[in-house]
This record gives sequence, structure tokens and C-alpha cells, in this order.
Amino acid sequence: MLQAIGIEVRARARTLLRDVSLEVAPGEFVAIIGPNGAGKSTLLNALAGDRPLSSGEILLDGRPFGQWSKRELARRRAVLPQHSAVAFDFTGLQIAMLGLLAFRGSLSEREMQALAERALAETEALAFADRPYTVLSGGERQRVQLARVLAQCDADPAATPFLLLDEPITGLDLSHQHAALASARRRVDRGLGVLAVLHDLNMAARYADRVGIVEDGRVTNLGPTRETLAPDRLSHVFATPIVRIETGSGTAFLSPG
Amino acid sequence: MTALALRRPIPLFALAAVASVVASLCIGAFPVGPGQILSALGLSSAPLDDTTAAVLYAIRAPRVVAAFAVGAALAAGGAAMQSLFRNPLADPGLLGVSSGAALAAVATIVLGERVMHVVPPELRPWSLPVAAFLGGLAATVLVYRIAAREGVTLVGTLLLAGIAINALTSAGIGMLVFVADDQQLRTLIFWTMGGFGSVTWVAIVPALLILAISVPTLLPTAHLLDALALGEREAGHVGVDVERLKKRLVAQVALAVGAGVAISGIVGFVGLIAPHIVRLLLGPSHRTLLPAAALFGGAFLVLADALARTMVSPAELPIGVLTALVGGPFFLWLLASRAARGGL
Repeated sequence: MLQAIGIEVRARARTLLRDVSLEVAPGEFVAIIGPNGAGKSTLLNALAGDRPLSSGEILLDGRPFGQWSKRELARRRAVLPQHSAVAFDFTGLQIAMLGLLAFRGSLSEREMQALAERALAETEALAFADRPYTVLSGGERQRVQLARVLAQCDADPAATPFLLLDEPITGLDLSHQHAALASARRRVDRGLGVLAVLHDLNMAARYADRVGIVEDGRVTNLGPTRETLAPDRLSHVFATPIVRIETGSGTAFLSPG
Repeated sequence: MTALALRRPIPLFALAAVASVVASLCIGAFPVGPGQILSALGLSSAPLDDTTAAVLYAIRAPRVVAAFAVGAALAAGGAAMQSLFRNPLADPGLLGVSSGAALAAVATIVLGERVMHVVPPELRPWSLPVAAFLGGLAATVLVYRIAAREGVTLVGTLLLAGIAINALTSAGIGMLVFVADDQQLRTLIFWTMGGFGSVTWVAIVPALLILAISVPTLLPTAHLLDALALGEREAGHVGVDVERLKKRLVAQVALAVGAGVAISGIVGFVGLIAPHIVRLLLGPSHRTLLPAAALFGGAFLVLADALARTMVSPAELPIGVLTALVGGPFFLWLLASRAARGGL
């Protein structure tokens, strides 16, 4: 279980998050949505252990973050940040293998390469295995980085780590957007916990078990996907009329009305 | 910029390094054959005359060993700094680490006599490398504090901070030159120009010991240095204790560069050239980059020193002049090509 309990995050005089409580259970996909600048990424960074808290605490498996070593943490959770610039001309395969750094010693070089290649194949990035990361396009880089965190999640098949994704599909084309979230979903079905910051409401509706709405530094709504993504509530949150259109085949999509 | 598909590059680099060392031992005003070097090492039963033995043991060997060790230290230190700053333009000379070390060493030479009587005689040979380490450490910490904000290096700020530190240290050295006596002055000029002309075994052993520890111990951090390329936060996510790694790197770079400066004074650009060329040949992975750059840097400086002492024989060119002659244009080319790619 990954839990935030009454956390508050400040940057200088501004309060970025106030009194936020949220938990991600194993086998659950939680999507975080909300307007720009509401604090979604700050919340994800706090849950990753990257932001100092001015109050509250984050627990992983019941233990506060401070009691985990970096290596132990890396074996229990993976993080895909929003922007990833890589220094020097590392290849796609080298980047993906860096996700397995915390498993060095328990995995052989050959096993690590196989895991990284499998993850690259899953994100359709195997063609970039020998290419320098710096020459790839934005979407291609994103798929290499996704492969890195997927490899990190798969390194120990018996473990069910947590996966934090900050806007994982921004910059990807439509088919790779679905492929990326389907990859996360498959791992949720295997028992992993996923928390993803998403801008696309329909993607959240399709892949998440629960949705949290962040507004002005608070989690104002948190619940099962369909209930939370009610059109009248979304219209209010995003200050834009939003309607739900039923397609007739049991699915629906949300659209500005 | 694709990496050459060299399967086993390190033995190849080691071989080239050995060749450069042997060549440099042979070259000079008093020519020595490669066979005589085998005799000197006890690998051949051919007798060695006293003059040749004296030239090899007392004059050339310490010089060649010192040049190799300093070159390796500057190259490995440069590679580690570039990883720390996530930028290939970071160089111990450009960022003022070498000159910080030199200022501390010069201060020890000029002002140290007043306090040296409290230091036990057997520890006195350590005073220069220790002072140079502290000076290098201060400069590294300062430049890092100024140029890195929350793990992001501002390259413009980084290079400007290096300029400022270099200006400050040369002002400091200038003031020390002003108060130095004639004999100290001779030593000071050597510090600022760099060179291996006055190297003796006794003088360099403490610094060599520091290098023998601080350079090879960079190797176990190779995978962590690779992870730093992802960004400091991302390196933390894959299991690197980034704060600890950074402290360790700063200390090891200061030790390597400080001990190098204690031996030879300021020798510029090796830390920039060697890692860059190795990255072009073998790719950026630190597991090959660190040893290959160290071997390359060592061989480069050994050959540069051989040139420096033979080109205008019996006089000697300062080796810093030679490395700057190669390194200056190289740095300009690097700047231009990075600017053309859209950023430093």
C-alpha cells in the first residue's frame, strides 16, 4: 500500500498541496486529473518521495519513506517523470537497462538485457535499442523511458511494486497512448498499484479503477471512475461544459459540449 | 556519433598506454633502447651499464610515471566531473579546480615555511598534495554550489563560475608572487606553467599514493554515473543515493586533481580531451569510459611530456603550453559544434 496521510507541500510562501490524503492499493489503477497548475505533478512527486513535506507523511507498505534506502525503494516502486533529458549519447537499450540498477547483483547482465529488450519490445521501441537517445523524437524518447520503468517493475516477477506515471501519454500518438496505458493496466491485473497523472478524461475513464480530482492543491473528489467523472462535476472543475455521449455499445465518451 | 563496435577496448587502450610509456622511456638526449628497458625491469639478462641505469631509474622513470599518473587522474577526474554536471564541457582546468589546487599549493610554498616547523619532518612531503586537495575541494564545492540548482546544471553559469574562480586564483597567485623570494619564485613559475621537469621519486610518492587510491576507486561507481545521466531525480528513482554519490565524486575529483596538481602544477585540457575522444570511440558507458579515458589521458600526457623535453632540447617547453595548444582549438570546436546543435 502506498499512502499519503494529510500531506502538505510548500514552495517558499506558496502552499502547493494542503491536507491531501490518498492511497494506492496493490492491483489498483488510480488516475489523477485536474486543471493545469492544480498540483497533480506535485502530488505525484510527493508520493515518489521527491518533495519535502511540511506536514503529514507518506507510507510505503506501512513504513515512512525516510526508513527506506534508495535501493530498497527502487525495488518497490518505479517513477516515470514528465520530461526526461538524458546527458551524453546513451542508447535506448542502455537507458532501459538503467531501470534495473537496483537489481544489479541479483540479476546477471544477460538477464538484465533480456528484461530491458522485452520492455522495449512492449513499447515498440526495440528499434531504438542501438540508437542514441539524443537523436530520438519526443514520442520515441517517451517510449524508451516507459520501457525503463516497465523493466524496473518486471525485474522481480514475484513482487508487486508501485508505478507512478506523470503524464505518460503526452506526446505519444493515439495507438501508443493506448498501448502505454494497456501496459500499465496489464501490470495492475498482475497485482501492481499504478498512479497516473492524465489529461485525457476518456483515457482515465477507460483504464482507471478510481479517479482523483486535484484542484488548487487539494484532492476535491476521489472515487470510482464512473461516479467521479460525472459530466456536471467535470464541467465545474474545468470551467467548460462537458457532456457524456453514450456510443450505444456500452462505452461512452466525454466531450466539451 | 555512433560508437565503434570494439568488443574488448580496454586491453587495446592498455597496450597503447604501455607503448607510449616505453617510447617515452627511450626518447631523450641520452637514447635508450627498448631492450635496455627490459633489462632494467629484470626481464632480460643483458647487462645494463651504470649511466643507462641512472638515467632510467632516477630521471626518466619518475618523470614518465608521474606524467602517466597525472594524465590518468585528470582524464578520470574530468569524466567524473562531466557526469556530475551532466555536461561534457566540465573540465577540472576550465572550472577552476586545478587553479584552486595550485593556489593552495603556491600558498604552502610561499607562506608554509612559517608553519612548517610544527609539522613532523616525515609528514612534510604530504603538505603540498594535502593543500592542493583542500584547494581543489574548495573550488569544486564552490563551482557546484553556484552552477547547480536542484540537480540542474546551468552551463553558462558553470563556465562563468569557472572563469571567476580562475581569475580569483590567478590574482591570489599574483599576490603570492609579489611576496615570494627568488628561490620560491622559480618554483612558482613551474606551478603556473605546469611540467614534470623537477620530478623526483621522493617528491612525488605521497601524491602517487593518493592517486593510486582516488582514481581506481572511481570504477565501482560506473553504473551510478551512468544513472546520473538520466537526471538526479531519476537516478534516485532507480536506486542511487544521489546526495552521497555527489559528495563522494566531489571529494574524489578534488583528491585526484589536487594530487595531480601537486606533482605537475596546472596542466590544462586533458580532462576535457580524453573523455570526449573515448566517448566518440566507445560510447558514454562509464564502465568503459573511466578506464579507457584514464589510459588515454595517461598516454597522452606521457607523449606530450616526451615532446616537451625533446622539441627544443636542451631547453624544455612547459607541458601546459603543449596541452593548451591541442586543447584550446579542441575546446573551441566542441563549443561551436554544441552551439550548432542548439545548446551548450
